[in-house]
Amino acid sequence: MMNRYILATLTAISIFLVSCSRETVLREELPQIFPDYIGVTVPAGTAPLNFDIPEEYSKVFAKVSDSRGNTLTAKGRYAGFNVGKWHEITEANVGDTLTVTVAGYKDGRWEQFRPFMIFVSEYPLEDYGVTYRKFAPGYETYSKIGIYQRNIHNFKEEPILEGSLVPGQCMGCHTANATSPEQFLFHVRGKHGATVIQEDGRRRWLETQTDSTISRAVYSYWHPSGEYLAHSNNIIRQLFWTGNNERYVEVYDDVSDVIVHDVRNDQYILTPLLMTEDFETYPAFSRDGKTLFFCSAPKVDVPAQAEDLHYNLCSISFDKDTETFGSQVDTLIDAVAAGKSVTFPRPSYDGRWLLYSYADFGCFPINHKEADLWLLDLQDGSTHPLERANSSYCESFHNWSSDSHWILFTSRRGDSLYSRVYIAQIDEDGNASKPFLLPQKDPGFYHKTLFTFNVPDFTKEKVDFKARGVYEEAFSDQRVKVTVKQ
Amino acid sequence: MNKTLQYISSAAFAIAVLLFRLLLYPGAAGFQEQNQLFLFTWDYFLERMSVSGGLADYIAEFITQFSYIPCLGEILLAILLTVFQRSIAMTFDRSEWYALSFVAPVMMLVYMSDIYVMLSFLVALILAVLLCALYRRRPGIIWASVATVLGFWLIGPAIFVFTLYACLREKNLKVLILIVLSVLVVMVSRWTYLQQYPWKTVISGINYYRLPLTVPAFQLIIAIVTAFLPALTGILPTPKKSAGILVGLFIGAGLGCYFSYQRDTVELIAYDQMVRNEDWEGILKRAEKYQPDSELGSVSVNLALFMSGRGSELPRFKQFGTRGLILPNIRDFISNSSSSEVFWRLGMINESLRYAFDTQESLVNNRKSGRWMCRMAECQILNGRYDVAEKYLDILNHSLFYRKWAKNERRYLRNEEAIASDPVYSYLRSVRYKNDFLYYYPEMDKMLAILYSQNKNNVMAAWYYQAWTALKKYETDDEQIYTGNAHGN
Repeated sequence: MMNRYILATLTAISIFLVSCSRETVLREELPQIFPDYIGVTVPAGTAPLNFDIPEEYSKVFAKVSDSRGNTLTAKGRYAGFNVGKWHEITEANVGDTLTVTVAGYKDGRWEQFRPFMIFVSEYPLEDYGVTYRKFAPGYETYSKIGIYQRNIHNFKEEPILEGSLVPGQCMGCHTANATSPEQFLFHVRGKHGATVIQEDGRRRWLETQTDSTISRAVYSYWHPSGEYLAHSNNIIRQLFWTGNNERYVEVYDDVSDVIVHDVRNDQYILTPLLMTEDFETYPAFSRDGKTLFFCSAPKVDVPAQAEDLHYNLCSISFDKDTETFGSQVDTLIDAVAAGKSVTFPRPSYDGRWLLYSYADFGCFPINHKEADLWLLDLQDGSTHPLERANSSYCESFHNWSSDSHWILFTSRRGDSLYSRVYIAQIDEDGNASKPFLLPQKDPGFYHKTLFTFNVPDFTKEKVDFKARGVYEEAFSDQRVKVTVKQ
Repeated sequence: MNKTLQYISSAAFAIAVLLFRLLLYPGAAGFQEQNQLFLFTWDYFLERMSVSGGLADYIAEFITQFSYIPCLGEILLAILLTVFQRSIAMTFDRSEWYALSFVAPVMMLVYMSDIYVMLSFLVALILAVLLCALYRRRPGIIWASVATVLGFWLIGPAIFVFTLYACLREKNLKVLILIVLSVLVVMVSRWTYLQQYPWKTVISGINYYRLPLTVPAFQLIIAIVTAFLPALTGILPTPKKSAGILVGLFIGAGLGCYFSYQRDTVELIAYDQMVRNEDWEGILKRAEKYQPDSELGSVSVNLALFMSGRGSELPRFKQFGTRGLILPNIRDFISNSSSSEVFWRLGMINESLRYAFDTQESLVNNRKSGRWMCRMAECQILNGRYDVAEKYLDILNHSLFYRKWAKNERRYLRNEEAIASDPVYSYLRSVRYKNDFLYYYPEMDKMLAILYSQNKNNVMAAWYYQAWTALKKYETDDEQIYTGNAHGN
């Protein structure tokens, strides 16, 4: 009897030892990681690129190593790296590459995949973080909406303003002056709507509708001097595609104009050149403030001819000293002739490039699967698509880091509906690196969340917005009325 | 009142509540259940606990999920109200006033006829009253102070029922500590983790009432009655006949229920739940007794007419024009419901998805809906957007009652063969639109005609087209065209 116990014990120990000593299986292919960080270019010192591997693996082991022999490892349900150590290894390898070796645990053994590279850019990304709106993507209604800021050097996200503080109102996009948190605005829509401008910590609530303009301010952009804003005025509609699974929503304008707003005395400066029967929208000032870019589409009968709505990229000169516009509108990209549509122009802050959305038609690329990011060289007028940044799904709502070496944008490539924020480097020749998805501590976050990320932007410093008093200010309906300069 | 009579009266109360809810509020439990989606995840728990009253809300949602089986939901509500009553009785020093312990529960029962009242309020009150009962046995200003501070976080401002009770019992200067603490805890909470809520919401409770910034006076009255009643029983003279008080209470309850009873809302919810359960004959039986009095009710009745094969009986029922067949999109969490079901069965998948999505997102207290998330997953499977469908199914997989369904639906993900062999999915794919165009509600008749012309098997489209055409003749031309406003998604 005793011998049987000894035999059984020895057998069990043998099985255990054999299972422990099983060799790691080497696999030729690259690991299927989520998010796809294989071959991406990252700035040093951002949040670590935590990732996961397919569910069939119960555990993951990841080792990041550099050419000097430094290593950083992570092991667990997903590869979650220490923030400080990630900063150390990326900062020690600026302009160099990191090699990532990944192994997954399945059926009692480890399977090691072919290592992949992560490139650490020579350009730092020193901005504090990103701001964005979050809500459920879909149609006309959203139960929760908010503007948030996320520190891109770690995983901390904070609300700037949530809908719970102004119930029943919608919040527009957070629009900073060239990533500066010292001067920004956002629009509140609804019964107690207003444009909220915060400058040097003081905020005021504006009524931006006047008798001479068709709507309240919609899409806004700061003049680099901080003394002016360009707004579009739009009567926005949306309709719904009913036939197939390719597209759901179409947003269009019944009418739209572009105006300039002197924020020192809250007066509009109007010109008939930007208030024609055509559709003018999406204004943006050049870095020197002397040019106002905007998009313009020849008037068509909407919504019947919604698919014939094509926007050109145009510009007009603006002299802030005399507060006058040029006498003519220049067409920089004739998308109408190409049967395409240019929207959302965003000039780089070094004055070199202009990033825009390029879609088949319409003014709202987020709902257009084919929408891609293109770059206009403001020195020679040439354009090209950002091939490495684009995907077969829509890319839109893009902007530049304060040093103009990085861009962020939203893409629906993850699951075709929920937009996520991606960041890519732009080199001296205007080429984008493979973008990386804004890292989250738990990579499963993106699959679990029911929020879409909307209109992200970099912010140089942390936004200081005091929530105290917002409800009372919003619901008091006390507004500074914008007037028209005579 | 002796112990036996106490138990008998409490049991009678529970049975009365159950019968009252089952007979007069059919569908109410299921309706509340479909307006939330309780998930067994750590993230879900943390999200609830991140605001004042989170624990009460978490418990309330945990209980509400059982209303997926409506009868079970009503039984649990009856038990909760009885627990509330028994807890109040435990705070009384004199058992001869036991009958008064029914006052607040009866008021609560009346209050809950309002569909916006959340179970969180009742759960928070029960927890606060249980603390009162504990305080009666073990008074102590220190633990009462700790309970006030923690209680505000865990159950919300209902904790002040307890604080008030403790103050009324102490009757000395120590109560100043509780009063100061109560003020401080509200202020500090508002300035720290509740910054994103207005004062009004913080003070009245974040999750006690579904509509933000709305504080019904009845909510405040119930809280005050609950807090003051124990002290009142201490000073009232001994009652001569407890049974008389009980009878008076039940008469009062009856009157309260009668005056708070909103027949039209009850009918709408009853119809909605019967549509959800595909009880077509039930809808028609109900409609024969009580004709629908709104477009929304009419949508349910007309759908039931077609589904039960009694389409020719349409003129027998009160009609509200074409809007009684399919409503235009309305931003609330009731109106789109039946129309989404109509679209689904017609094969207008994108419209069903849109109405389902907007219904879910119209839950102004930021909850999700099990019922509508299921429909959204089905629509995305039909649309071949499997990644989005998978997201919804994985979320539903963390629920109690949708888990099995979600697991089953996973077999359709990226599996065209499975979809083709499923009778519902294959039929809907065969009858849906073949070409893409912009939906336009005022031209619904044309859209229905296209649907039928593309697939003659779609007899539902033909019937709806005929009904639409017939009902349109009686409409005026000044109907508003609804297009909605974009919000930049």
